[in-house]
Amino acid sequence: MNCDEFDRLAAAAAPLTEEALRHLRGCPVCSSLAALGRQGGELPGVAAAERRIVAAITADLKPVRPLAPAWVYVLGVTVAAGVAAAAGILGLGVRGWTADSLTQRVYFTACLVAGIAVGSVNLSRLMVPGAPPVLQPRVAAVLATLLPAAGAFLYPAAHDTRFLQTGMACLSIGLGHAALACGLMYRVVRRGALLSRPAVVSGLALLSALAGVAVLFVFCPHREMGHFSLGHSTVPVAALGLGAWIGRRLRPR
Amino acid sequence: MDGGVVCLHFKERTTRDEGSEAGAGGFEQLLRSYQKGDAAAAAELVRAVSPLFVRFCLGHGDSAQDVEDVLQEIWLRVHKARHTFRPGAPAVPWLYAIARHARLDARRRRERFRSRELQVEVLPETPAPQPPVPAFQAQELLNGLPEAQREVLVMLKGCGMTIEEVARATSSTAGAVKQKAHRAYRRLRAGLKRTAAGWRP
Repeated sequence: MNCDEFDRLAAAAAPLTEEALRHLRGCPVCSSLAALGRQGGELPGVAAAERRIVAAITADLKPVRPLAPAWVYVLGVTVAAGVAAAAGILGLGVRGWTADSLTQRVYFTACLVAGIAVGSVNLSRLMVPGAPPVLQPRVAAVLATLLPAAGAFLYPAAHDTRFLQTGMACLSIGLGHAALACGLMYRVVRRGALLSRPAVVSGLALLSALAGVAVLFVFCPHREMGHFSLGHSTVPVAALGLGAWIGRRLRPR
Repeated sequence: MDGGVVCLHFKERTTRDEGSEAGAGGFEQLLRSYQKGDAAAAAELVRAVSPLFVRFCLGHGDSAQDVEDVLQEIWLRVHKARHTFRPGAPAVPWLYAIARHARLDARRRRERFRSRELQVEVLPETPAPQPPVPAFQAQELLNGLPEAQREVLVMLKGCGMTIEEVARATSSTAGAVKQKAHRAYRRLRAGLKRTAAGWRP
């Protein structure tokens, strides 16, 4: 065994083989590395700190109900997104959906359904410390902003004299419904831990934004590339930025 | 080379488990009792897990005063989030995920605070020096590592966690943890070779 092989074995935290032990005995650098992290761990003031901590947490110790199983939260968040989207669609109509081709419908429906499914599982995991997410928050953020933006290319480019007004109107409609979805989802997940506030609040905002994008996709009669880029694709981006900003300003609970 | 270093992996598990009669499984049982409002279980959990948190913080090079502050902060968060522990889930990643975020938040707070401190020409009178903290040998080498690599190494080596536990605690994957640990080893090895031909642990 050489030093590289020993590194690989140690990095995998695997039990040391006879060969590895022989290498350790003969290699001062590897034996030094193996000893790293083994020292320390005792402090003179810790016993007193422990006593203070025990006194503080046992003073008003009450039984608590553990979180429900993860599927309850996944379902709850999905239903919240569905309710917000349905409310928007019922109020605004389905003119966009009826004007679309099959390809456009399949692309956006698949993106939104997959996004909401993965996002709700991710959010339910973010509620529990030590539960690995399905997708890393950064990857989820990139996908949730890029996929709707890429969908804009399914529509023709056309000149529109009211490009800015219609774009801003759709952006505000999307963000409004995202806020509604966010409020409903918060009711579902509020018992969860808020370990990384920017990650949790951004995740919540991003998932809510997908509900807003769903409303716009079904309702909006402006089926044009520029309009989609400005009015629809910017909803997740704006929600993500807003979520990260709010998350950084929240105090730890 | 002594036997203590040779039996590294087995001893690490023992180090972590020695605080509790039943080891990691005991932590889960204690956490469940803690959720039910059992004060004795809460006290035992604090006594069993605090040394591991201390080791975790010291491994990152935190000072003794900082470690005490962070320890209180960690337990405050554990207390507030105790309902999020699901019976049947592994306790160690749950505990370390909270500890990790509490330590990072505390470090950011300290850095913000220190960046606003004003230098004065005459030093104010200082209290008598505290007894020195037992040095974390080779701490300088560890401090030279990037935060993510150091964190993985401290959890694996200092706290005796498994790859899977570290992956859960850091919201990462087992492959990514192995890669970080391997890179950390490579950097440490390079540092060791460069700085001290006669260095011995």
